[in-house]
Amino acid sequence: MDSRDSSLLTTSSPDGPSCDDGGVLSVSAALAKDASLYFQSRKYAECVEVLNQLKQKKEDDPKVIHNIAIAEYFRDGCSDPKRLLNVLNNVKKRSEELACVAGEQVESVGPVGNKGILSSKGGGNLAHQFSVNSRSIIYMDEYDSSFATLNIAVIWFHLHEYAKALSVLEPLYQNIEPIDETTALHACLLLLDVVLACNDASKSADVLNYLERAFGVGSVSQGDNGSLVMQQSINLIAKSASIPCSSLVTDVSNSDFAVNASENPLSDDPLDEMFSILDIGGQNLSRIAGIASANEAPRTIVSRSISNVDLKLKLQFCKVRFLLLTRNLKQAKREVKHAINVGNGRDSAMALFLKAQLEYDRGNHRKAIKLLMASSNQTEAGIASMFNNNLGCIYYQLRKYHTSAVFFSKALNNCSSLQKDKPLHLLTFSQDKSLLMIYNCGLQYLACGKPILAACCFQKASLVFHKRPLFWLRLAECCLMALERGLIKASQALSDRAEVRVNVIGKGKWRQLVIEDVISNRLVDFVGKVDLVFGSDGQPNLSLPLARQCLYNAWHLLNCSELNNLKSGLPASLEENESSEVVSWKTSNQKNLPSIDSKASTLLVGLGQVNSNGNAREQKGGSNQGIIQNSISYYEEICRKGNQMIKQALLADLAYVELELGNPLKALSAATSLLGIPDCSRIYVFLGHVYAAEALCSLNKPKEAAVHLSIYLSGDSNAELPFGQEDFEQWRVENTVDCEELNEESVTAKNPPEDWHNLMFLKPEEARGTLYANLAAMSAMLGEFERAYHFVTQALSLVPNSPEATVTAIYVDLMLGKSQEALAKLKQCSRIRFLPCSLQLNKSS
Amino acid sequence: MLNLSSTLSGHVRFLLQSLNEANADSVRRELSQFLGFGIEGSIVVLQTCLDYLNLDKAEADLKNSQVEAVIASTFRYALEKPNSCTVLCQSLGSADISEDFLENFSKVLHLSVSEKIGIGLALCESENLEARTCGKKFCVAQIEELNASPDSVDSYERIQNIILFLQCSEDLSKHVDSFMQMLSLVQVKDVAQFVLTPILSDELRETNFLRDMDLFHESAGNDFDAILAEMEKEMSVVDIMRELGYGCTVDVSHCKEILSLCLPLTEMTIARILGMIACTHSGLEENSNIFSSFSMALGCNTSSDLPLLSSWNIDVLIRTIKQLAPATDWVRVVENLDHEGFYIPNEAAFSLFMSAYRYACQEPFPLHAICGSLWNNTEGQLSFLKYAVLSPPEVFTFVHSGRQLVYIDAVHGHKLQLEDANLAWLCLDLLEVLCKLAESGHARAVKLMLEYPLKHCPEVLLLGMAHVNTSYNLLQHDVTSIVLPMIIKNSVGAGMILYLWQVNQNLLLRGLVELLKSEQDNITRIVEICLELKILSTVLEMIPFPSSIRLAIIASRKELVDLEKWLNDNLYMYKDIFFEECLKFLKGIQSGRSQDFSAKLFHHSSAVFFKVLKDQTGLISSTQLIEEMEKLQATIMDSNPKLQNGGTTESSSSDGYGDDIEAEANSYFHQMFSGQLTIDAMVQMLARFKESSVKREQLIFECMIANLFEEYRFFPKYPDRQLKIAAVLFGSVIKHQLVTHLTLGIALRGVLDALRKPADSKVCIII
Repeated sequence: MDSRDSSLLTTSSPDGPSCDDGGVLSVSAALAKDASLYFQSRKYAECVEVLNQLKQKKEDDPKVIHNIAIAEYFRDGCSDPKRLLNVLNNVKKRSEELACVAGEQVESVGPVGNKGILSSKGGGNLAHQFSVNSRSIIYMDEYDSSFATLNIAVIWFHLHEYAKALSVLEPLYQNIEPIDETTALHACLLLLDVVLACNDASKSADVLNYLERAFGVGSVSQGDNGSLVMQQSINLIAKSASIPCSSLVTDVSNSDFAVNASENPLSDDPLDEMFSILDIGGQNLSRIAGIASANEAPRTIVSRSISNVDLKLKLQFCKVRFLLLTRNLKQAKREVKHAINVGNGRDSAMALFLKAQLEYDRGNHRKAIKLLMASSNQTEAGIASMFNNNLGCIYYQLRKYHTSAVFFSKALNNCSSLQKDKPLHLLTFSQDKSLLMIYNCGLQYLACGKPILAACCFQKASLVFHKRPLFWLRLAECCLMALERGLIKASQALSDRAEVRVNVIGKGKWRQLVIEDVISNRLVDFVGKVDLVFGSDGQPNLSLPLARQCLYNAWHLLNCSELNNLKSGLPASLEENESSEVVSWKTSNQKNLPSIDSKASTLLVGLGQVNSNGNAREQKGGSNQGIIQNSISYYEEICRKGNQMIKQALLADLAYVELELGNPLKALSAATSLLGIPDCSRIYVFLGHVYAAEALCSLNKPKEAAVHLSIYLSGDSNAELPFGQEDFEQWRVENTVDCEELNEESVTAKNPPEDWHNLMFLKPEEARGTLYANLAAMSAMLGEFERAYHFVTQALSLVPNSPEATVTAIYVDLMLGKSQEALAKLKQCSRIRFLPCSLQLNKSS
Repeated sequence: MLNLSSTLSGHVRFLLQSLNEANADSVRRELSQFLGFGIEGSIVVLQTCLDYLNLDKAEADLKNSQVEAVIASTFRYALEKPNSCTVLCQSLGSADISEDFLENFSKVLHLSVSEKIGIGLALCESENLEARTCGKKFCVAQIEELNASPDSVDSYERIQNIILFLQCSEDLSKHVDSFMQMLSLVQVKDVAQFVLTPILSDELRETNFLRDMDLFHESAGNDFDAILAEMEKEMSVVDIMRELGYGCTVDVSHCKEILSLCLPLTEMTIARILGMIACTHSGLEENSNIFSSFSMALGCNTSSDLPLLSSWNIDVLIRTIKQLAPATDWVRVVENLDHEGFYIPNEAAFSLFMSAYRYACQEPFPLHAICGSLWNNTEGQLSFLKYAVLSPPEVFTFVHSGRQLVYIDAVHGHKLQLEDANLAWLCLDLLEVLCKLAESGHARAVKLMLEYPLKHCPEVLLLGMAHVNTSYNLLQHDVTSIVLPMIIKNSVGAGMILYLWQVNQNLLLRGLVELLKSEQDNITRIVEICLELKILSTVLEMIPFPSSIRLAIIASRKELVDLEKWLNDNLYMYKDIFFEECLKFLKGIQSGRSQDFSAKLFHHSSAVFFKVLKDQTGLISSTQLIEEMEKLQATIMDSNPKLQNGGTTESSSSDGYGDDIEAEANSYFHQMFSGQLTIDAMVQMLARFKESSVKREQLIFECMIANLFEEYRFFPKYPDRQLKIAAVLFGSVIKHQLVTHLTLGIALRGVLDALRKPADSKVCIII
């Protein structure tokens, strides 16, 4: 901890070397030293004051401005990251300009200067000397914008804007060689955290490799340069404190329900976490610290050997995280053990958490719970929230959704108290995983069948998740589920539609039955503007048009993420064109699957959120290249399959939504795209055919619709099972392959007998019944009543309670003149409700 | 089916033609209403509008700006609908689409740029290749125009569509940036719209992000708490208990922990808990581990080895509930059973539930809560009632029900076996709610429930049902049609009929009408009972004509009704209607549709009918009916020589059988068919009559043989049992040489006829 303070000291020092004349130098140096002392002792107001004095002497020096900004930021309780970002961006720009100017000046001396800089990396002493000797070089060094860049990245990182952080860090990493070791190490470690947070396996591997090579732990040349080691050690300790807190962030976000295994006891003092900014803000001059206060040296030297181990440990942890990300569990297990050996008792909490996550991934949820309990003390709010969230994840995986709700709400409660207790600062942002937890809550509510609350949660979480296709798919599912349960305003519940209402009109022999045409009442009647997603009452305004927009978003993101952006897609699928004329048909029976779809797509709930990732980069050489490479390709396969599954669900949902909105043209194109997906699950193929058939019927092309439906006909009148039980199995297997150990089933096979998948989806036999009902309706439309009668009889034997099938049967009976049979069917079906007359009829009828 | 499109388009054209300033608004409203009829209606409306517009332009006269305005607003309205894509494509599909056309079209309708883009985008989805290319070009042109002169886009959906449209193809993606820029110029404040976040450019988003972050943390306090509060509200202790398993009730302290997760414990919650434990009384996955780790995670000290439970411990549960909510009103708990998910799967669950109730509360079970009215969760209610009615009285009883069937005289002497039962079927509330359940889609299940009372106490059930009136009376009629025949045959049935008559005439009459369609001995019995109860004339008045005519004929045979007078009265009262019914009846007889021997009986009444009908033609206004009657009479006379001479009743039937002879002959047949007379006895009797010295008996014999042969042609319509009897009789008659000469020839021809028919036809049974 002391060593960290020493690095703080450096904050003030930059000015020193940059001044020519000795007097000013000494004054500045003194001021700088004061400032750094104040900073160390967390007297930020005083520090700012001193720095301001310094600023008067050194107008325009970007470093002073930089340091002032940081000190002020801390003084104000880290309340305004936006302002800090602004200042830092300005500083960066300014530094670059200056460096550019300076660079031109030095151009003649270029090679020498470069060498100087390179060697300056070696240690603070050297740099100092150089800075005294050669002004221009110092300017180069001085105006190195990498510190500002790094700090910008840190702030983005803490705001959970990983993509942004990545975009800031990438250029730095691409050009890492000239940057001094410490900054480079920090940049690399941060980058590693960022890419892990982005679930970017190949980049993680890349950075990991580079780190191992360049900062070679173990036998690599650290002995060469004592000061290097010293530097490293200083920063390493700083880092070892900071990294855990950042890894904390990463892991939570890493997937829907990945256990964020990284709560770290080291970070239980919130101030330590501030350090993740501070160390970077301050580190730019840490190398001079060595000189400025020579008495620091012994201490740092003392900590050297330890910190070397720490770096190693840190890298080892990152490696485990990488392996966990790529689901290379065997290897991960080995590496965790290794890490525990390396750590030799240090940082055992981290190791335990990683182990917990490992067990979680392997499906040993009980063991994971035990490890979690062992590894943390839950007294501190931040940790407790993490802990509760993790338990929530575990119970979710055990399908104890309501129990998981208890933990999630506890976790959020902890977060909320965290927010209220302290003044708002960056720390709160970074420690505040509430958004991620809220997303988890959303998923859990979706699983519990509470779409409105789920949508509320998702909406909150959108700040962090809006770039993920799955997020939008989930939101669309909320809409569909709300539709199914009749929660959408001004529309009719599907459950109502699942009932045939028969009005009893008149008495005695004048009694008549009137069947309301409920089923065909589509939901077209939305008023056009649906922009306001969240109404004034704060309740989400779930609607079908919103579902459509969400699905488009998901589709768009999915396509963007596919590097090889094949031109498959909605527009492409329209290539087959048929001329059409417009009369739509009246029977509603095609709409036999209103509820399947949302159900179908919720299948995905259990699937971990898989981030797609196309850009594999060439690997730099490394020791365990093979393993890493394998992991990556395996992971890419997982991602690809995951995307495929998302795509299937998405297109099926889209086709359904468009049908519901009365937009058969688009529904048809979505269904066609769905059918065009290679290796599409037979379940979705079935949905694709049925939706396409309905769309075609709406476009008045029953003949073409017949083509879709008769695919399942063997012979003239017998329908095959559209999909079998084994397709569920297959789906399940795929599911487990996809997020392999994320799912319980693969490891422990003690599921309740009726698998939940089956509960959510039509059973194969029911699907066949539905198919028969559709065929019957279609034959009836084409006037083939005998055939329709045959089909509908089959349908009723398979799905006796389907109102659609019943209504079709009654229609067919009436058309064939069998009114008594129709009546008998009405009495038999359990979805029929006899109502007293509610219609006002005039005398004539 | 009416052709919607032509009707609708005609109407739309009419509306447009008759458009003037005064009705412009109402026409506009009506047109927009049509657009709500789904795509079919929308397309027709738009096509008609388009045609009208073209027509209008072609004629180039009467530039009616009103029409344009109305049509424009109709198109705009269609454009806003979520199905605009299909509707526009299909309705513009017939027109010759070119960019000029679109340009012209939008100029005439004064469409804004954004609306034009909307039309272009819609056309991009068209099935027609030309239209698609054209739409695309049009779209791009409009977007360029929009970029050049920023204008607001009217919906976020459209913004999204535009961006997706631009991004989906390489050559268009260059427009994306300028479009984004345009957006940032036009509506900076709103661009952050939630659904657009993923497709906006990073720059736009970054500023939004920071602002959102601020917003998030500014509002975090209350917003966050709102969600938290909502979550706590949604937390369901019932589901948690279900998930954690039986371990929850291992002892009071643990149970308390769980139940305190969401205090206060309301009656609703308790009802849900009870429902859940009944549902899951066995078969929950063994997971005491899960429970123990749960309570550990909650920070409760748990001894690690909790005993394994194989079901819920009701004792612990109820004690805990009583501790946490001592003021619980258990009647209200039962009233709250009507919730989503309540379902009693089997008897064990039911008795578990009842024992929990008894444990909690000594009061008798509040029956009004379960059969006072129809629940929302009808399935749950049915499942509860199903087991309630079958329970022994110590588990569940209806004895304290407020509305019970009072059976005094009605079923005297007929001991009902209800002493040991729970008196469920005397509870009128129960019957009523069952009737309602049957009509709300549970007919099958309710009928299954009724099997037991139908077997053991059908009369009680019927009498109870008589008290219930529902909209369709589905169940009541079913029960009536099953039970009424039993009562009719019953010696003490009259008392019950009287009871029914007093309680629910409609039900009784309906049942009688159904009975009247069946066997004749039923009819005779009905006549007897009606006579006994002195309700015959009322019944005759109340039941529909076809039934009352039959009933009147039978009654007239017994000389209880003067058929001629009755017919006259009715004709006088109902005129044409009754006349028509009579004709229908006569036709029915003639075509042999009446199934049994009563047809024979009715045959002989037809003469009376024709007489009365002829006498009363003056009352009839429709000549057609009279002609029909005459035609009918002619055909019937042809086929039945008995009626030929004179058409009077008195002149004995041509073959010389008197009415009394005929009646006696028929009565023997009835006795035989109803089993009172064996065939052997019948044959012996016939043999005796044949040889009898009494002229009357010989006549009866002849009459019976003639009738038997005459009936031959109706055999295919006989019910199986009667057919068998007739067949054996037929055979026996031949065997015992009761028929000779000419009549034997007729008989054998009948047998040969039967042999010639396909083997599965009924008549074959004769042999």
